[in-house]
Formats: sequence, structure tokens, C-alpha cells
Amino acid sequence: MIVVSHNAVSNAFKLVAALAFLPVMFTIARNIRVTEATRKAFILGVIAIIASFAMTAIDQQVGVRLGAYDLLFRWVRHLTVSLGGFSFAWAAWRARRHEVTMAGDHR
Amino acid sequence: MIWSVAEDIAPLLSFALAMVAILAIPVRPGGVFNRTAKGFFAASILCYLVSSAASIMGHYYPAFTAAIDPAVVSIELLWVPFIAFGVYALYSHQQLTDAVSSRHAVKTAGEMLESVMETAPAGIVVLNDAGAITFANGEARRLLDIVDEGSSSLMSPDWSVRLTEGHDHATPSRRDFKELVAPDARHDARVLVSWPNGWHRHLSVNTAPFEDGAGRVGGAVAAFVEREPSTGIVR
Repeated sequence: MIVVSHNAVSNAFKLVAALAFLPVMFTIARNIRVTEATRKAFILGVIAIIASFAMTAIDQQVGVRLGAYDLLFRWVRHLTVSLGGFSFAWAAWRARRHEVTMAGDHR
Repeated sequence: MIWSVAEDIAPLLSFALAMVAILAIPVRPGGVFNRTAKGFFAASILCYLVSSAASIMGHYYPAFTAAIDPAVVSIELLWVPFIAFGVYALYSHQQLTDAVSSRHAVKTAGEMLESVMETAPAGIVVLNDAGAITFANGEARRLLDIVDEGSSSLMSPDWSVRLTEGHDHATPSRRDFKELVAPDARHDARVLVSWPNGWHRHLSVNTAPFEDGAGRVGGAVAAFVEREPSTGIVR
């Protein structure tokens, strides 16, 4: 029997909310005037975070049944989150570099 | 107590770097980023910084972390609107910046065009599709004796216009420049402008048509110079 906890509902809602915003975010991200490196890194970050949402929701339901693979699953989930974080960092850094260059300040 | 590189250090490090990078993005006039977009992006990263910190705290205070876990999940949930608002704020800012710069470019181009019109030695008029004058520069006003009493005076001249060259016989006189509004540009067309008191002017006219929004001829720009001194006799 699957026990639906508050966290399970929250995690599921988080995933649904993210997926609902996904088309809008991608549409806007395609149209904003940034460098391609920034755009791709940002989109990769969004995908990674939403994938981690999905993995969290799955882990919430079947984690116990994964047995020895539960730890591996959690590691992969956290690495996915980290990938999102590094992608955002890269996107922001490239955006910063572009802005500094455009401003004519090369310090 | 062993910190896990995958679970603790990597997420914390990645989001800390992201936060630093976002805060380091300069906000400048006419730039891509504004403070609102930066704020939303920073808030979205902050959500995951808090989440990562809570995960690390779980090693030291498991009971406390378990107690705040629902709150952490809710904080992670805030990432969704924050990142979406950040992207939207960035897009809105860019649209606004584009609109402002476009308006400035149009104003600059308009001022430059006005300077060119007023300093040009030729008379320049803009004709609508009916051949009526909608704009005339200073020299055109002098040659056509247009008194500036508002735009309506341009539409009701007291002279008549007649093409005198390129036709087997002179075209009928008109009270507008309709003959000059044609799909093809004209070069050195001869026009006779006559006034009721007998005065007249022979003009050499170049025209360039322009289209309206539907692809039809919406009017023309005509530039003319006087061919010979005015006389009181119509030939």
C-alpha cells in the first residue's frame, strides 16, 4: 500500500508545477537576447532540476523497494541537482562575461 | 559522520557558484539584465542553497532536519515561480529596452531627415496617393508659394499643375500632383505650376513612389528645382 504523505503531495505538486511552467519558460528562453552558451546552459539547468523533481517524486514512492539501489538512486538525484546548479552557474557566468564585454569593461 | 560528495558538497558548491555568478552580473542602462530579473534568479538559487544546507545539517541534527523537511520541500517548490518570473522579467526588460532604443532611433532619424529637408537646395514634397501635398520643405514652400497656416493649407492650393513633357500634348491642369504619383519613379519630369494671377513656374521634378501597407502606391516623394526664372506669361 502506498502511503501518501504531505511531502509526497508536495513533491508531486512541485513536479506538476514545474512541468506546467516548462513550455512558457522554454518559449521565453528561446527568445531572450543572450548568448547561445548562456541559453543552452540555462535550459540544461532547468531540465536537470525538473528531472530531479521527477526523481524525488519517484524516490518518495518506490525508494524503499529499491533496496541497495536506493543509495545509488539518491546519489544520481543529487548529482542531477548539482548538474543543474553548475549549469546555472555557467549560464550566469557567461551572461556576466557578455555584459561586461558589451559595457566595454574588460576588467 | 561522513559528508557525501554527491549529496552534500556538489549541490552546495554548484548553487553557491551560481549565486556568486548571478550577483556578479552587472546591471547597466540598455543592458540585458535588470535588478528584478537578477533578484528572481538569485531567489531561485537561494531556494536550493537553503535546501543543500538543510541536507548537510541533517548529518548533525537529524531530528531538526526531519522536522523542517516539509518546509524545505516547500522552499524547493518556490524555485518554480522564481525561475519563471526571472525569465519573464528578463524578457520584459529586453522588450522595454528595445522599444526605448527604437523610439530613440526613430527620433534621431526623424531629426536628421528634417535637417536634410530644410537644408536641401531643392524643393521636396511628400505626396499622398491622391497627389495632395502632406509635407513640404522650406524651398518647396517658396517655389509653390505655400503659406504655412497649418497642415490644411497644404491641401488646398490656389495653383494648378500640368505635366508639360513626355506627353504628346500637355495634360489637363490639376489642383494636385496626382500625375506624379505613379508606380515608377520619374526623372526630370517637366511640370508647369500656374497661379490664378498669371504667374507660373517651370519645374523639373524627380519622384520616388512609396508603398502603403497593402503593397499599393501610397504616395511619392517629389524633389523639384526651378528650370528657368518665373515669368508672368504662360507659354
